[in-house]
Amino acid sequence: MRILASSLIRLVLITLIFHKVSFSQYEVFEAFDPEKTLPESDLVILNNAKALHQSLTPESAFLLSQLSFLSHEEVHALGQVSAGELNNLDHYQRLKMLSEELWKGKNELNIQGSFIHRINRTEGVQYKWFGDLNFEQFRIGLFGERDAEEINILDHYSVFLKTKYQDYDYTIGNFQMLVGHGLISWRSMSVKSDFGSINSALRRGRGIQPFRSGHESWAYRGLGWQQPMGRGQLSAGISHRKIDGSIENNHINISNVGLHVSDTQIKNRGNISETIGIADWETTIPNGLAGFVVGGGAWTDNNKDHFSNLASSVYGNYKVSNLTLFSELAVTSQNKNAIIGGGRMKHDSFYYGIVFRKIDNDYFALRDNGFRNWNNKEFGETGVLQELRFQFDKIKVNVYSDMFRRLEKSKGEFKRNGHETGISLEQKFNPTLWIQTKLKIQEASSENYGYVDYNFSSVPVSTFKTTIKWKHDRNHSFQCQLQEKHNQNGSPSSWGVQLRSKHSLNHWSVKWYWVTVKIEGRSWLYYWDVNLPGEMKSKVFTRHGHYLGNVVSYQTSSRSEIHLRISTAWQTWDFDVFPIVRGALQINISI
Amino acid sequence: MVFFYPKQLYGAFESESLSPLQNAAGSIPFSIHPNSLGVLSDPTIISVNRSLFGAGSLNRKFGLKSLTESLFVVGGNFQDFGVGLGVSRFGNPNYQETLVSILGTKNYKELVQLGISLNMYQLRISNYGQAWAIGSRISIRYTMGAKVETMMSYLNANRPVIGQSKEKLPQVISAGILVRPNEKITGQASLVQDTEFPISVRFGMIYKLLDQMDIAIGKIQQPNIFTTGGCINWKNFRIEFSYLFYADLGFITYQTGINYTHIP
Repeated sequence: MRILASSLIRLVLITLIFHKVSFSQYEVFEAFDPEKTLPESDLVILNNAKALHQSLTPESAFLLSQLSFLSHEEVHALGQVSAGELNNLDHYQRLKMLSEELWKGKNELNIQGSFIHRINRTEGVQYKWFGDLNFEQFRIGLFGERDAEEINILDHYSVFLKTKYQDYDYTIGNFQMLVGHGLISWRSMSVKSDFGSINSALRRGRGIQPFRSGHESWAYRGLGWQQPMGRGQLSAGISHRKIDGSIENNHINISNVGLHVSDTQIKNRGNISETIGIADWETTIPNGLAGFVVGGGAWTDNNKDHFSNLASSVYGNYKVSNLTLFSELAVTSQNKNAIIGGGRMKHDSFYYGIVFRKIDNDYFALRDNGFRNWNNKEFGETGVLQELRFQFDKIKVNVYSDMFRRLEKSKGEFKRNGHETGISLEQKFNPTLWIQTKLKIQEASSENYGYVDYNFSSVPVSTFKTTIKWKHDRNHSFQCQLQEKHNQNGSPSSWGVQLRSKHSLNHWSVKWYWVTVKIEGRSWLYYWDVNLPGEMKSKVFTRHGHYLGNVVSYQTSSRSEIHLRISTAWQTWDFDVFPIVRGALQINISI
Repeated sequence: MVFFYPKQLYGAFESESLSPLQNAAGSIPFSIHPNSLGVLSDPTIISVNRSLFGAGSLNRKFGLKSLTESLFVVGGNFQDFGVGLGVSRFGNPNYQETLVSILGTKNYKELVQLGISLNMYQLRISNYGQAWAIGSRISIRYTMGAKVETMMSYLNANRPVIGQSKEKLPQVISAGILVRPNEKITGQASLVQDTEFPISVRFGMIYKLLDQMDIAIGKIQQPNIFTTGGCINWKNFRIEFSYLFYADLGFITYQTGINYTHIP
């Protein structure tokens, strides 16, 4: 408590005043924690929305509704726009901001397709290609990737065709199925504890969606469709494909790497042959919604190891006045269970949400990725997340706390638990000025093995971040961000300062980016990297050093842009080292 | 002894089929109007070369007779499609690589030119026999504005292999930007990556000295080559020449060629 109190005092003492300007391509992402990965599909969706559409229309609203981070209300509002029942998003601050960022000042053009070609120099050279073509009856999406040092040009590719016939929606090719709250089938990124996580956990899946991410083994490949059935809606898919991964100890490890360079990686490429069928039926009930999912899969690897699984779940939500309750309960033929449930209460500016979860050890369904803290599926967990938001005078306060514990797998084993707490204060002075600051405290016990005996450490880590943004005029903006992180055991703090500026002149724009960090121990610092449009990479600093980044963008016409990024990193304090230089080139075109 | 040079070496079909003017301007992997021979490496230009055209060139890599390369292409416009046929030969009587390309191009909205070539690779070694494989090239050229074009090309994305040993044929990703700040100057910057070699960065410029004469210079990094050359225009004909100096090797390659483009 003493530590928390002292942190809060420091929090209050520091004020930061900044203007509402965007330094990355979408300001909405700036609010997210750079320590946690964002789904690439969100960036692709936003790029497509910007390139293919010129304003908020039913079509563009439908596309935006597939974003992973939206709240239930925001999805509902976009659904209303899509259905022609709502014409503007003035009551939804985040959607309004997104809409302005995407389409403000855009001319009406007849755009049928957009493409991105990106060349990214890392340890080698990585290539990525994105394409989206929009015809009257069809929508076609293309994605190709060649990672550094991979031998084949199209080492990975993904194609989908989406069409509608009468009341049926068909997606052929790579698709994902988002059902319930993620205990059976979800996107490749799960919801993690953070500000606003309750909204994400509460949001149920919307069935079949085209797969746009670069994850090489997550998509279903085959046919997915949606149709009315009875008094509800049926979403179903059948898929057969090869995925990277392994079958070990009677469970599936799907590889998240997607790299095929080493002999082992090449050998494990497409190691598992997978066949999956899944169906979801959901219907509206008075004041709510209920659904039922059933699916099965069979996996065989090159060693002829075999695994099969059946999984089903029931889910639903129920609304009473200002209270919304939700839950999903899943079981599998491996006799593994998982449950997630909770509720949310909202009254004017007051908001309280709570989410419980319990996931068995070795729980595996088909593409489950529900809200959880630890990624290792061999270990289950139980936990409770709470979030509170309210307004005190002109200050908006947001507090969240997640407490979790690993389930015991065998008697006498090391017990592991942890918590994560965050507080955010925000004050809006006028439409362009406000104050915001954030503090996070994370703690998760872990094993340490020594010469004498193993013991465990459980030291909370505090991260304090303050940002100052200044918009000189429409074409010139500046930002300074300070970050401090330390273990609460008296060890020294890591400090970081980031300076950014953005300058625009006619068709040119230039972004400058400088970071200086002083790192102590394992208190590594994370900052959003200098990104090209469609990227949202973060950069982790693990030792003292300095970092200079620069992006030059040139709009060659109303349909095309060229972006160039160069970054230089010195991994010593005194610059007495050869810097590591990286670069990227990106071409955005529309037809 | 070139063949024991410890750095980058050419393997089967690693030699790029570029026209003298492309080579002179930094071995730009994309065609430049009205340089007809460039369609072998980038067929998108056929949609611009709407009339009948033909071109050929000859060079000896590093000045060695055993590494003689000859290129020939003919094409034109048929309805809304550009079509062409190209042949290149490389080697000597003992070792010979032959590449036959069927080329096609489609223009879309005057913004995008999509070019596709179907390549038949034939490798012949005397007293050992011959082998062949089918490869492909997809080229895309996009008009980014009045002064800027961007190009992308993917060679052998279908992963062809040749011979009993299943030797992998080169897979190459190319990307480039062509800038024309005024009527006299054409500048290029391009990146060429054979997936088994480090990326090659190339810069070059063509300057129209007279109506009848262009000169060009360029620089390639990886391998380290300085390039220069030019072309002389006379009615429907263009005579091209290039000079490539391999700085690390100390060798020189000369290339000459002739273009004919029917101008109605």
